[in-house]
Amino acid sequence: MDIETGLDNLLQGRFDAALAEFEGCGQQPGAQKLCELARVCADLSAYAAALAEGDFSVRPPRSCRNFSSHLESLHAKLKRLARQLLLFSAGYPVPAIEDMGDLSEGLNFLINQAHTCKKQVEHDQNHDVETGLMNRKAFVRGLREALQMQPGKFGVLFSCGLDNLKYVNDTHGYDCGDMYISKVVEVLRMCENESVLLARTAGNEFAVYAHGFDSEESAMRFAQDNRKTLLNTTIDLPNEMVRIRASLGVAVYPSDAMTGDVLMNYASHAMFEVQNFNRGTLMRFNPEIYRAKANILSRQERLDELLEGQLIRFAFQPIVSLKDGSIYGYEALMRSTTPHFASPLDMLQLAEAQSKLPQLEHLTFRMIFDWMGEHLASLGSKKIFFNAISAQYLDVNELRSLHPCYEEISRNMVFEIIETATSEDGLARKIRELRSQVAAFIAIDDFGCAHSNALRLLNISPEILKIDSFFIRSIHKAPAAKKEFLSNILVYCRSKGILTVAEGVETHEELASVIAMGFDLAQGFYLARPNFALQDLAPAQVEEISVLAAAFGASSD
Amino acid sequence: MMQTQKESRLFLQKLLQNPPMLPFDPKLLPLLFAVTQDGSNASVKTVVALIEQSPRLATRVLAVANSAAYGLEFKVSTLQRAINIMGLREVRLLVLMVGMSSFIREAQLPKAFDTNKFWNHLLSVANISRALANVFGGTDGACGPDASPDERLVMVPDEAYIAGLLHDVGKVFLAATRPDIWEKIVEMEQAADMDMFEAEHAEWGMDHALIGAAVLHHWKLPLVLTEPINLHHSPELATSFKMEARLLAVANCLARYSHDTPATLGDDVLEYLPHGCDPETVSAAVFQSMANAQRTGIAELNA
Repeated sequence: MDIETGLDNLLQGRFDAALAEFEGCGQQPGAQKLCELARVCADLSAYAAALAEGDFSVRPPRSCRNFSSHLESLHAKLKRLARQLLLFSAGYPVPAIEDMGDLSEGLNFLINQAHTCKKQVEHDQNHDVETGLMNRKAFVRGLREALQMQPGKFGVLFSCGLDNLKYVNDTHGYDCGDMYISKVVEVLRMCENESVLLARTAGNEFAVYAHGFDSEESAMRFAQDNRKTLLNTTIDLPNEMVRIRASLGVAVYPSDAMTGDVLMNYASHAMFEVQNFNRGTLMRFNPEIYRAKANILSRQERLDELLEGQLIRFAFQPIVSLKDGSIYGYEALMRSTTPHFASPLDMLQLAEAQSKLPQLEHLTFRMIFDWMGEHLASLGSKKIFFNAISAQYLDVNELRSLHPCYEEISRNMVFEIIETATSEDGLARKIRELRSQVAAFIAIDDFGCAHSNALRLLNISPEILKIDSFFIRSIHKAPAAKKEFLSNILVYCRSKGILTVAEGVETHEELASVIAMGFDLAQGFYLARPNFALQDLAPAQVEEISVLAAAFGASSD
Repeated sequence: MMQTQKESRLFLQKLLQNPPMLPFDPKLLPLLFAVTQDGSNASVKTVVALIEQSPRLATRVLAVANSAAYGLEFKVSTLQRAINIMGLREVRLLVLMVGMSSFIREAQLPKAFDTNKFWNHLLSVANISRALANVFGGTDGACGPDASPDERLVMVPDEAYIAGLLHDVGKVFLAATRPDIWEKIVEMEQAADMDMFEAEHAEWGMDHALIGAAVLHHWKLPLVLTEPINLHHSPELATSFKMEARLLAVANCLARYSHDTPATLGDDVLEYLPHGCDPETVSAAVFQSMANAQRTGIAELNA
């Protein structure tokens, strides 16, 4: 127990040992003071260690009250510096560090640190943060350079989409997903050398380019071999052994394309094809498939524009009563207000190809409900027929969220179930529920086409049946079997109180025939074309219908 | 805890690599701030053109110009007219509000995130900030034209309002991008009765103020807004825009007060009040502005 041993310990940073020594010599002069000093040093070292680790939530220890004001200001400055470095790394300008006073010595170090951060940022801009592989941008740049160096050789680019990463993430959690990814990276890195470029091009997508082959065959073999290695790799997750499942799209230089961007584009395209139709296999880029798809791809943005900007409006085509030529209602037909879509069908097909039907449907529902809300008074008892594209919004909760007056609006609504809507059992139940809550009518559109068949007629028992123009076209010259079929449908509908609409009436003869057969309503260019304003029939046409109706009235009643 | 700086940096970089989108052209915001500067020769035409590109924005501008607030007898149908009537500063505010509300609406926030409460807080802070800017920066204010350069308020009341409106935007980014961390922080905030700011530092050494400033800078908002927002919980760290940071910190504290009567300012506020500022004047001005806001309704935006 002596002061000297204590001092040695103190100077060498063994504060606890020093304190023990000092406490042991309690009676000697100055020992008290030394005890205090040792305690301060111990506290301070813990404080300094926390600061050094970036923990700015610590406060200077109580025991050093004497220098606490210095420490406080040091602390504030450190905090400020830490903030500034963070913001700087995020591209934020660092204000001039002027009043750093006692910290100025360390400033050089910190400025260097900041530059390192900046370099890090630049590196990160070219690389994927998680795997350290290049990102897409850097990859394409590297690709371009590689092609310039050795333009005479063959090269192969494959895009590799991980098919079961989502499964792993969903069932085992993201930690396992990370393990999976690092395993994939490990496998891909095995083929890495100075003529191979590796990149992570998206969350679950990697790209590999290898250059310098002497033939197309050996280039393709490289991709094939890699696929085999990938698919033969397993990952031991905590509860399951998972195999890597990947879809590969391949493009070969110079056979498929001469430039980096195009190669990349082609390989990704081939990969998407594989993912859509033949998961887990490898496919070489195929220009024919590509040309067929390119048309759709190029208009992807147009559709987004249309959805975002609500670039649609409705045209209204009268649906006319065949008793007296009065207007029973109007079919609201979706029209895009931009010239990029040839027809509404075109719009629908594109939306379907991009899985954006629900968005499009929501937009049309919202817009028709808004329109109805404004025009309800002028409609009177006339109905608006509206295509429920996939019937997803035929649900009272959805309707309620569309418009505060959804109940009033529904009274004038006829929802048309179109022929492409496919889900049969859910549909019938959905419609039963909807009917029990709102007064909307249901119509089956394009009866006789695709999914609009007798089964649906029985399942849904609609208020209105719209018979496809296929049956109406030249009906006056149609074979007897076709007419008989139609007559039977009409008899069935009349017995069930279902109104029938003849779609696509385009000539006087067709009009006369459908009146003669006993259709209730008709729609078609012969009567009126779709128009942005609600129109009535010309008096001459009303007259024509009345005359025909009177002529056939006796026979049909 | 060990590598908070690095972790925070990675978070920020990831956030900014895939930054949150505004429902209009990113050039619009910096342009609006440039155009509203005195002596600017940036073109109003460009503003009109950029606003036109966003249908949502264009309809809002027209709707506001046609609203009762401007009491016009005729209908304004062109953007150019609407902007002339409203003034560019109003348009700037409207653009920010539309941006914020669309951004908040579209952020995938955890269920527990109370958007209404959040909006109310933003609007209160905005309102109080404007009142404070008038008090601090007025001709005889503590940070007015006669104060020493170091203590002069650069921010004009309109900007103070915007700063208030945006000051907590980092919370949305945090909650939307790292709901796990956000939840931990909220839990800690409630369990330990901490300030969210303290909880954030305990959890990962970075706070919503900093995140917000980084993103707002990315959106090209000027430093007079981003700096005070960056330091609205720690104005003592400010090296520039010191008074602005204090102003925002004070407004943020005051927004939590009840405004039924002029409040007695607590230590939290007094600590940040600029020197030579009379607490009672501040209290009265804040009370007055909140009462006005209640009367005219600050619900303008929920649309």
